Amino acid sequence: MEGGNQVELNMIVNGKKHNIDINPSDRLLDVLRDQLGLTSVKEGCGEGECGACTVIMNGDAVNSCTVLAIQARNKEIITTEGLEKNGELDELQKSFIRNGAIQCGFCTPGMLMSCKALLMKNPYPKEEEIRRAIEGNLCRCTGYTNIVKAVKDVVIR
Amino acid sequence: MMTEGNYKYIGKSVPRHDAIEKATGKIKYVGDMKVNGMLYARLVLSHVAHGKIKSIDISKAKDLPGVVDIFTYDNSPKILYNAHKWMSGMDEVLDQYLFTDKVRFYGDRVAAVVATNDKIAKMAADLIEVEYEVLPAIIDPETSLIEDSIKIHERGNIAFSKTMGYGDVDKVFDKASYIFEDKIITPKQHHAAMETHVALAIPSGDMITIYTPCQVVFQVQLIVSEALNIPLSKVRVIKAPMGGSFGGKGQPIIEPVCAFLAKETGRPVRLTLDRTQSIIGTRTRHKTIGTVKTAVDKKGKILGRDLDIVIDSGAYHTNASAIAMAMGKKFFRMYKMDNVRYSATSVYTNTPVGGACRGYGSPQLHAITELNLDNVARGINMDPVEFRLKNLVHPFDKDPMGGPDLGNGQIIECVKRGAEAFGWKEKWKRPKDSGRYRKGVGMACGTHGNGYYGAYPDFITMDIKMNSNGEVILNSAIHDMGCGTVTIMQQIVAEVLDLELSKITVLEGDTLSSPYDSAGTQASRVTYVCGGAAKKISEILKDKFAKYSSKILNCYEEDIVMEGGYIYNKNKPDKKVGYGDMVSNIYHQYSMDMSASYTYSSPANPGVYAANFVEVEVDTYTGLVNVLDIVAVHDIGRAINRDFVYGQVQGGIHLGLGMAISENIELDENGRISTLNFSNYHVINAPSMPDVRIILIEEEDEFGPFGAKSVGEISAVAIAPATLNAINNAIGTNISQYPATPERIVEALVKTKK
Amino acid sequence: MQMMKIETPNNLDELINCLKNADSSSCLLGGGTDLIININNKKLYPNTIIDLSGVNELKEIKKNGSSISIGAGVTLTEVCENSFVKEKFPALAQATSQVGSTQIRNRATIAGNIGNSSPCADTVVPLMALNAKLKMLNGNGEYYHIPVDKAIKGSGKKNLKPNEAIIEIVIPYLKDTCSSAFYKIGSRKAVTISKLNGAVVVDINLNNTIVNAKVFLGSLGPKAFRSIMAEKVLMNKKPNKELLSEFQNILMKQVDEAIPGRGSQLYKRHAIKGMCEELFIRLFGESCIRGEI
Repeated sequence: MEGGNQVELNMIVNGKKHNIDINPSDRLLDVLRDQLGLTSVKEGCGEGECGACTVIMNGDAVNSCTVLAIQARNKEIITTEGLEKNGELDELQKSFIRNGAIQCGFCTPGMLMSCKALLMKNPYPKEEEIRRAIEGNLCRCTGYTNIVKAVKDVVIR
Repeated sequence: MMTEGNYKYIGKSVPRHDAIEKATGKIKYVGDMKVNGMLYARLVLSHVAHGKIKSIDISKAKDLPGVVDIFTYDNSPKILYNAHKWMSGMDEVLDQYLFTDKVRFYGDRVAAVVATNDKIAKMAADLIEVEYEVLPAIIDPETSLIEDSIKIHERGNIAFSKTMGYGDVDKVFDKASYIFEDKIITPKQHHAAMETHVALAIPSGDMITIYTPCQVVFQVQLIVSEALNIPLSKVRVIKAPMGGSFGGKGQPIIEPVCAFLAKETGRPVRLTLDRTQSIIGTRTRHKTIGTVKTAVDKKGKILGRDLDIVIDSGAYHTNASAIAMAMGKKFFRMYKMDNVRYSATSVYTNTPVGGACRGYGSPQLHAITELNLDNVARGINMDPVEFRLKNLVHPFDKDPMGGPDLGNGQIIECVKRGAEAFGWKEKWKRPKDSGRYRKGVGMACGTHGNGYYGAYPDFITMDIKMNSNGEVILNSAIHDMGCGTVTIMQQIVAEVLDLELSKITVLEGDTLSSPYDSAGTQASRVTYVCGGAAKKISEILKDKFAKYSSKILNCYEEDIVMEGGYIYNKNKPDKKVGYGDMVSNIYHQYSMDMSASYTYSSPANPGVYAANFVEVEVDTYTGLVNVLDIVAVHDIGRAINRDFVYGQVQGGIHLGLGMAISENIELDENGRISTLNFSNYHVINAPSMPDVRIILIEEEDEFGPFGAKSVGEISAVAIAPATLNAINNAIGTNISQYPATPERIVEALVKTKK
Repeated sequence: MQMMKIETPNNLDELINCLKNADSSSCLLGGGTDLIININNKKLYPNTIIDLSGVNELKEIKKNGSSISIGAGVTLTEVCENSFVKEKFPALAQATSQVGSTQIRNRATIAGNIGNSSPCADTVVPLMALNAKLKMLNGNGEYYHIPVDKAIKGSGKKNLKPNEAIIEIVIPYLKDTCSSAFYKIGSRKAVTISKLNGAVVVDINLNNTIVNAKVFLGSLGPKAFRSIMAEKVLMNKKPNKELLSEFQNILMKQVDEAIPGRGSQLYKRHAIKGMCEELFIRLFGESCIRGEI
């Protein structure tokens, strides 16, 4: 279909260099999920509203469904799979588990990404800043309370 | 009578069983599953609200390299079915095909494309050209009531109607001095589970295996079998990890299609809906229009009540009858009333189809009735809380309609405790604001059920066994929606057998290996009925274990103690045997394994109750509502997992709050939908979601496991009317249409000239 | 069908080349928060996408002698967090900080907001009020400036020719006596398209009198526009409660003139009072609306 039209993409994902062939119209979401098998990145709406597809790109939380994959060239991407280090969960992940911030789990990877990106820039966020960081991450299960609590818990520790 | 509740596992906030998998992103939902040779399918939905299909041109789509096949009405089974049917022998109106030749709503299923990758499937779906003979459409349910010439279905536009009640309501209204009448409209709401609808069907010989995030595996199996005319034994349905449902994935909407595609192509097929298709093409909360009339005496006692409700079934029948009945039954279980009448008429319209949605009619019912009661209180100058307390049911009241006993219903306690925690008296007496920002308070009560006892067969068979390493497997057709069902079953088993949770495996629904369950996850039956079954089967196993262990330990059965993984004679506490070792001994000595099976039939269906208190601040310029405080008090019986209960309340409030101020599937007069994605279908986001203060009243129910009652649906029932009551209180209006959007609020303000 | 091509210029020279070959089915890609969604929703079918994200010259905010230049590739997050923008052009900082969500602002650009030509575009209103110009580049290698006002054609109409691109947004410095503010009203507190948005720039003299005022409104028709009647009301007045009231009344009248008979008229003419009050608070302080400052 677009076979003859492929372009090369170099990017670093979860610390690992990748050099892959992609279609020009591929979204970063598609490449991460389908080619790199990073299925933590979810498609909840396809229009940058639900945040389930959030990844961290060069330190910024972005909706991977609105990023054309080629725009990720030479950039560093982190997905939820990349939070674990040497089999040890990230403090944020532990806090999510501890604080009941996960129910169905579908919004969880995106939430973790937005919260992680926030903490990377602002290690001591106020409640307002936490809610702003996740304003683009929708959750239908938890009412956000425990998610905010989980971030605050990391900050305190 | 509050039981002390000194439990080891019950009431504890243990983390959910799959928390780590979810926190690491490793859990695979159906959309993440890949199998060898898998094909990808996408649907084509109607963009016309009512019309006959004149032609479907699939040529351009078929020409696309990678397209394997395309299916429409022309090349699919023409068997009518109703996806609402969850058990064989249920008599339902059958009115849906896999693919229709007459579209009845914007979103009706016209075709499916199967291709070698998802992108091609999507592209091909866009290339399919459908020509319609457009028919006039009925969008408004009240029009459908009277409209004869436009027939959405051959049987007419009335889907179902029922009147029930007791006493003499008309006589009361003739004589009463204080009558308050309201007409209230509740919206079509989208479940908005973050995971859209998806299914994976894998053919193998003449067998089809379907992985689906569903609520009732046996229902999926039944409907697939009926729609495709294949034997039940050739359909295997496995409940997959679920990214939220809230009733939206309760009926098998896409599984029959997916199974059909897999059968025809002979390959595994994964069918995915995008967000727009999930909004318009699956199920919605039924929109209702309720006219409610309440007569009171001047002291505030309710003398009589009449509710006439029109239910918008949407384009197909599904559960139009059941929802009308469900709403009606709840109407009689909240207040002590001597004269009551309930009339419901479900009608077809050319709009998205109603189905099950968290609360199953109770949110709509209370949105109507609780708004009206506040007007009554206002009308006789009575504090709304005092008014409720004067009329609410008492614990152990009987259902005047002959329904199941209300049980230990603690609604009065809920209202009292909530009012106190909320600071109701001071806030209610507060002088009214007159500036730009105006605060207001409101409250509402709600009731819901605990299963199907009294309406439908409500039973579940569970199998349990203990291995020679002391680990237990509970096998039953439960379905974790993400709320924590698996974990609470572990907790129940753990409490009876005194065994740590990590040693208890709780399986979920698989039609091939699960024992039968009559209704799956519906009607708030899971903790109450399935949990009750889990407790019972654990006790049966415990008794069996004691019986055989006592023979081996040479003591009386009553002397057997099971404690923390060790079993022993209480008179010889130094001679402890590990559970697993004892199981092994029993294998050898008695050729018997420690397993049991039991069919538990629900013995009761008490009312479950909640009261919500809300404080808002309304910006009288912009109409925006800031929700300042919510107190939710729940008559929970017993919290099996405290954190899970809080989580359910927070989530239920989120959904109900959306219904109150922002959520509505909007259609124009031609039935075209404008709220096609989250950019304009607004669910509450983090900056706008208040924290909820939660109080649990744990007065045990007689039959619930450890006294527990339900919470998943009741949590979504009272919040919408409590919020509207607060808004109306803040600005002195009588807004009676949900959601109270900024536009509606400003319109009401302008009308009342404030 | 969709043999989409993508071009990734690394600098302005390469961009000129891309622009030279561009036609009406080429699209410029900035942050992608509008374009990618439109492509997926089949609202757009570009044959060629020119990805601007690799052109480093577009990523800077530069302080010049008499103006500030914001590169077309600067994200809204970068704009709203820039201390110079926050101090000197608060209207722009406020507008950019209220577009979409955090994720959207981390990718979206002002140039994209302009190029997308929505009548509700939040950055357009303050840019007009601030007399901003767009520095353009075309396929012939020519640079030129267009005032934002002239560049915006109205909703749905393409603001740029196929062979041109926005390089920078240039905003002249305001006098020290000037201040600016922006406000938007949406369906909720955060993450919402504007139902109303507005920007005001005022110059106040030492006698606390407004000697110059610019008022621009958006989401009230196909294109953001200047409200001369509102400016007249502010001129030569001191900011206080009474002036706010006059300002509210004139803007209600402005709404009536802009969208007579439209379904949203009732709401917007009422809600704009809230926007007026917030603009006053942002410009003159909370105490102003209670009495004279």
